[in-house]
Amino acid sequence: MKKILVALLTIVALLSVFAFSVSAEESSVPETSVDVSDDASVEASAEEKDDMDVDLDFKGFGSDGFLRNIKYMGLGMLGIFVVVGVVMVVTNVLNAVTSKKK
Amino acid sequence: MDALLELFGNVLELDWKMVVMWIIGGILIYLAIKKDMEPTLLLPIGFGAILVNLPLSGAVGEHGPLTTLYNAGIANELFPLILFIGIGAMIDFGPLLSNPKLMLFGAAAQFGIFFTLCMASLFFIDKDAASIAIIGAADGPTSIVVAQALDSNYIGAIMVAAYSYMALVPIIQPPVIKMLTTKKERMIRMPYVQREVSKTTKILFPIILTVIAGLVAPDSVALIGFLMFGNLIRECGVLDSLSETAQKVLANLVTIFLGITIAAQMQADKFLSPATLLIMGLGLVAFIFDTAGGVLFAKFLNLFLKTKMNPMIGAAGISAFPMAGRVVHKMALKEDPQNFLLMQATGVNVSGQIASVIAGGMILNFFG
Repeated sequence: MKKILVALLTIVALLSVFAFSVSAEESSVPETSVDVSDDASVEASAEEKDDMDVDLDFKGFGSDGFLRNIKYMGLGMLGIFVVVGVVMVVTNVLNAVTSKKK
Repeated sequence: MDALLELFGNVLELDWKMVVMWIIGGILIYLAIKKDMEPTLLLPIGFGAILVNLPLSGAVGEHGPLTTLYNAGIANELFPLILFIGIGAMIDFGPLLSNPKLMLFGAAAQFGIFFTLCMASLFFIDKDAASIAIIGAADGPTSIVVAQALDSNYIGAIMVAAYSYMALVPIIQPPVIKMLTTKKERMIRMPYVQREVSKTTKILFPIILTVIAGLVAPDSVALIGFLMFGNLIRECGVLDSLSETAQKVLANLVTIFLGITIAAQMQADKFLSPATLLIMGLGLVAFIFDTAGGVLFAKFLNLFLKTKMNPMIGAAGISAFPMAGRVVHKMALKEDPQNFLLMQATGVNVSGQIASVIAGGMILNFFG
């Protein structure tokens, strides 16, 4: 159990460092992404707009979202492990408190 | 001639896209009946796809019954949440509660969701990328709730991908597991020690889990709350008739409505697009990386452990219950006929259900 806790803490630490370093890097880079949907809706003619409405959010290949969401990948996995870790500890306590002593 | 046109003029409204959707609906029905792939959902979705793609179909439109059902139960996320009550009532957390550390594998197996989020955001805006990523939760109600809450434009494709891949778990997982493990690792035995779990623990667990998950991810309260409510009905011991109703009548009734209503989003002009194919591909990526995440986490843990764990149980952390657990159990038996991993795999599989709901809450927190 102790070794599993050590491993878990290692992962949590790695994910934290990863998530916060990406977040720090992102905050130093100015926002340059272009809102494709706004440009498309302004420029499209009335006829083209009906066809384009379905695909307005399909923006084609672009890496700005990818870099932004790497942070959420770190935070999301960190969040899940933290919640599960807490649930694990609480469950062990529950088992210890409620088990029948022989 | 004019009379004929008046009677049958709607036939002229038929176009090739509708015929393609009929074929897709037919394929889903075939997979449901002949191959027994998630028939409870693929059959209603397949039939519904045909219904909504008939020219001038009365099933959809402003006052159509499918539109009414959609507004009543999908647009407000009600149907999947009610279904979660039934699912919660079906789940036995005993194997997990007797060995709580198995929950870690459930957490690790949600990696595919976030990896797919990054990949999907190469092509889609954030709300759609997040909705597509949640296919990796391998859980229909969670996928519907998250996609609907984020107002995704691709709910139909996301649903079809989610339920199809859930049914394909026995085909998707084994090659990934074999690629990431050695024969020696797959043969690792994990003796199961039966530890009694008190009734008090089984009753308190759903309540405490709801509070913890709700404090961390408030947007997940509905998801986790309804799932745990169903489980509490099961475990309290004084509501047997309600538990049975939730597991059978309620779950079946909502599944009927859910399946056929999801098809309201499968109209040809929305469904047939390059984006749909991309979503199908990304859904597969999500499942593959869920499996990989669980297995690799188990291998990582083994670096610290004297008594090694069979890394295959990590793959059972996908929320596709009970298929993922059974896949791992069968693979273990194939390698070693005396290696019984069913209880451990089931415990991990159940923890995946919890972790997938928490992941859904995280996604809603970030993008909602």
